[in-house]
Amino acid sequence: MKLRSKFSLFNALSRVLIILLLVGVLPPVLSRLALLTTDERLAQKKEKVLKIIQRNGISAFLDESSPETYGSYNLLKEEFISLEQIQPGPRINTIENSRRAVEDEIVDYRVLSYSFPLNGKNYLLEIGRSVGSIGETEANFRRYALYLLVVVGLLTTLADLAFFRYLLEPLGTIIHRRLKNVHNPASFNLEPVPTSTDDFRYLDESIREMMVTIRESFVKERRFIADASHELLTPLAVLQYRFDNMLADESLSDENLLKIVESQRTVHRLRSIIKSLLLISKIENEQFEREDTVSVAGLVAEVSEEIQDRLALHELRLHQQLSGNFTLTGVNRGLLFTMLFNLVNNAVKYNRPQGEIFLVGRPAGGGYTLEIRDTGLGIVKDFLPQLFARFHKANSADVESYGLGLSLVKTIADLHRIQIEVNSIEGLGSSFTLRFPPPAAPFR
Amino acid sequence: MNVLIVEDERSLAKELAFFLYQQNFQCEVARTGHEASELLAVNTYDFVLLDLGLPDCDGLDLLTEAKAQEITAAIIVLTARGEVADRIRGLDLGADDYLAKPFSLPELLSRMHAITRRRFGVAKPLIQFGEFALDLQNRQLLHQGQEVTLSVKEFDLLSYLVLHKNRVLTRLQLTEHIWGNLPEDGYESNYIDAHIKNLRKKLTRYSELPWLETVRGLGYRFSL
Repeated sequence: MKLRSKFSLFNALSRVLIILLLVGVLPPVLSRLALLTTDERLAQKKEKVLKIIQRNGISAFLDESSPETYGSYNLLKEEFISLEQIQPGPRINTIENSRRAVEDEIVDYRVLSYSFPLNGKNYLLEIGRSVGSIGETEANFRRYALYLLVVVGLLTTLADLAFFRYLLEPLGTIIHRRLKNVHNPASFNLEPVPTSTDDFRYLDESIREMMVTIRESFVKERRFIADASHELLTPLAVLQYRFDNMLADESLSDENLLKIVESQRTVHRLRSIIKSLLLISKIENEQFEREDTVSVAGLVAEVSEEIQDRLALHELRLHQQLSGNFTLTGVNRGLLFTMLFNLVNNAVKYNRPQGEIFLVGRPAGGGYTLEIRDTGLGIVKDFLPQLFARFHKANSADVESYGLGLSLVKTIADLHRIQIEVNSIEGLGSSFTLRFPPPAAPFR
Repeated sequence: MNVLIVEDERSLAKELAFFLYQQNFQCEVARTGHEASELLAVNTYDFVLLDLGLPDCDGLDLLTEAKAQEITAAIIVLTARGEVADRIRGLDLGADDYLAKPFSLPELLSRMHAITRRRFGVAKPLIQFGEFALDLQNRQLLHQGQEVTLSVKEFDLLSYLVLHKNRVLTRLQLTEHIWGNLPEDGYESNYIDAHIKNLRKKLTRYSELPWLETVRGLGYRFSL
């Protein structure tokens, strides 16, 4: 999972956790808050009533028609006020829940009771608010609190995400820029990634230093192979031509001719090895132009024509099953021919007598796959991981092979961004699948 | 036969290669002197068509280098320079012929045929052996005036053996000159034997073939 995704996930989870926690803690807190608010309001109302009594006298509530008690409640019985004359006793100043009968029903109230003396008499003032209406206030509190929580949670999550994005952008650029073309040190992009974060700057500098070192040794290795190959080839070519000329000498005995032929074969072997190494080195150095347009069907036809005499020699049958046609653009025709020829030639060389070779092509995901399958010896499982390594021979009994054919195939495939998949069952045969990329994919 | 075309002008090189390919030559193209020198060291050619005006070196220097390596290929110098001095210098350095641009492709082909005849001491385009006659120019094998049908490779093989008459040609030499420089892993030449077998089978239908002999351990020889 990407770092940014992990951050986002953690962020979202922590917000959810906080909200859940608050949802659990809030009800008792809000309940208490609603109660306190109610008590506060009851106390305020008490003060108001006392002020009215102070200003207008007790007769504002207790008149001649009802000299001892006064009671009033609103239509929905949410609130009531009562005032009555009481016997002298200890002062009362409480707020508590109590049940009161109002008309024909019993209602739970939060009641403030307050006694006070006036003009030599004692009075009890009670102001009540129904517990049901307090619950409504509490529900309102809860609703608004939840809205607020969600909004705050969302806003902080978005703000965090935006900041993470901004913060991690240089890391993304480092990964993208440094790891792109990682297999081709010659085209490493060494431009520094701008960032104000010291850790990222240090990371980028360290990676760049490593890349420079890798590139230098890579270039040195390539140059060495190219130089050494070229310098070795010239004297070998001289030897080869000299042997050719010696073979033309009719006065030489057959015994001497045989020695020359043996020497010529050794020289040829050396030349071929160096030639393949030079070819691989040139491909890796991107010295081949890729401007051709080739159809897979055309390529297959060209290779199968070239291989006909070898098929006949081993009495092999070649089956071509190509569905749809696929055109490759921006490629090197000669190199692609070499790649396919080597694979089909291997299918010939390592087949059983009167065996079969299948060339099966089909469109796949916008690209194309071409499978080269044989009914031959197969490859030992342990050899598969090293199959494309230089000088690695899949069949150790093959004394003529240099172990460079598949390495060359892989180098050409890599240059053209063609993937190779190998499947093999010992004793049954091998299958090499070439996966050509979709035409829109730009080449390196 | 293998041809190396050393020509920096891309379209001309392509035209030459296409024309020669149609005439059953195997062609490779080098666009610079460096590339040509490398290919000459790596591969074996029968002809080198050498343009003198190369971007990175003088074609005549390349000619000197090739001759110093004792290459067996015939070299035909192609150039826009029609000057006598250049022509003489080229021929002095060992070029087999000289063609001034513009030249016609059939003319190039007939010069190549002429060089082949000259190199192998063949006076006429028709080479006679027994009741057979090999027409190099028209790529035909005739038996008492009647054409014998041969595949392209069978004809190439027969004519190469006939041209190099009385000398042993190894399977390696035949592979390189007739099949071209295929970059393959290992050395496979058994298929040459299959072609020789087919050739023998086809020709002995008409008459005995005492000229084509297998030299044990070496290759084949056409004794004439």
